[in-house]
Amino acid sequence: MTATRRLILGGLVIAIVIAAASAFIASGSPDGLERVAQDHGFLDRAQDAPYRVLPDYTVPGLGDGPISTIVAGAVGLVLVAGIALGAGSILRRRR
Amino acid sequence: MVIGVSSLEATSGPAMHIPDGFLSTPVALVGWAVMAVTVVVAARQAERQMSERAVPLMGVMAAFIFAAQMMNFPVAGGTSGHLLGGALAAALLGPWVAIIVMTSVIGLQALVFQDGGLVALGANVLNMGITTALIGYLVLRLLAPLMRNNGGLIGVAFVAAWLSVVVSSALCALELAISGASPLNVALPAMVGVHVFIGIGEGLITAAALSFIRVTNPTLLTHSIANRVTA
Repeated sequence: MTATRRLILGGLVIAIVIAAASAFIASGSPDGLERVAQDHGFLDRAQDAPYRVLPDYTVPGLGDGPISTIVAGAVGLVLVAGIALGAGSILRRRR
Repeated sequence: MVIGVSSLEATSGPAMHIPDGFLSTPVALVGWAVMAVTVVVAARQAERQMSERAVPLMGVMAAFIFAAQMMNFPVAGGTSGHLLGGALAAALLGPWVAIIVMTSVIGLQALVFQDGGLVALGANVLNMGITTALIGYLVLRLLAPLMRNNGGLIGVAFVAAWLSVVVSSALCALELAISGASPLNVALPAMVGVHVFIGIGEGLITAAALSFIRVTNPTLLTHSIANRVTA
């Protein structure tokens, strides 16, 4: 049980470090699908989202620098861990 | 040109995440239907297998995959990629729980981070969550006998993760072709051609993570790959 707890704590620390570091060192090049869409002329089919909350891992009003990405990433980490834990607890309880 | 660049920034985040507009309505609807049915099946299966320790692992797995998907790494030719994570999640949690975790991550990305479209959400979950978890798990199960030592584990994990990304990209190309965005004889070689390289990153990260877990939590890995998360 301690080994599992260590893995969970270690994993969370690693996730936080990766999210924060991504604000500085993540590649800004287009990803695989974007590149293919660019090269083969269907990128302009893309539509804007109907609303924006934390678009592209930035906080509106904080610009698109590292601070903005770190704050957006932190919010995302809390939300996604919460959703997964919630889903897990529900599934566990229904057993 | 400027318009093209700015709309690129606005609509597609860092990923294989399909923005809205790429897929036709029927393809998007099929994606949603497959997602809905699979999540229900996965939830039923997961219920039977869930152990006490699987719950916190789901949380940490979701956090790790979310963070890793923010970290785009460069691949050949001015293109980037990032971990999808389905194979890794399936190795640790089994395919059904992994699908729940992947759906949580990809759903949040679409709803809050405008990374991947809302209409395209079903297809994105199908490609990046369901397909990667099932393909990754299938390869791990088939090649499990080779995983007794660390070298074998690294090799099998790499192949499982790499193949999960390549199959995912091929499925994405098929959806684009059916949608009329790009013919299959163009989209398939282009998508697979890029993701053959992006998959190397997926393979290395997955192998490193599983190798690390083998050292720190050996029982976790053997039990989960045997589909016995309860143990």
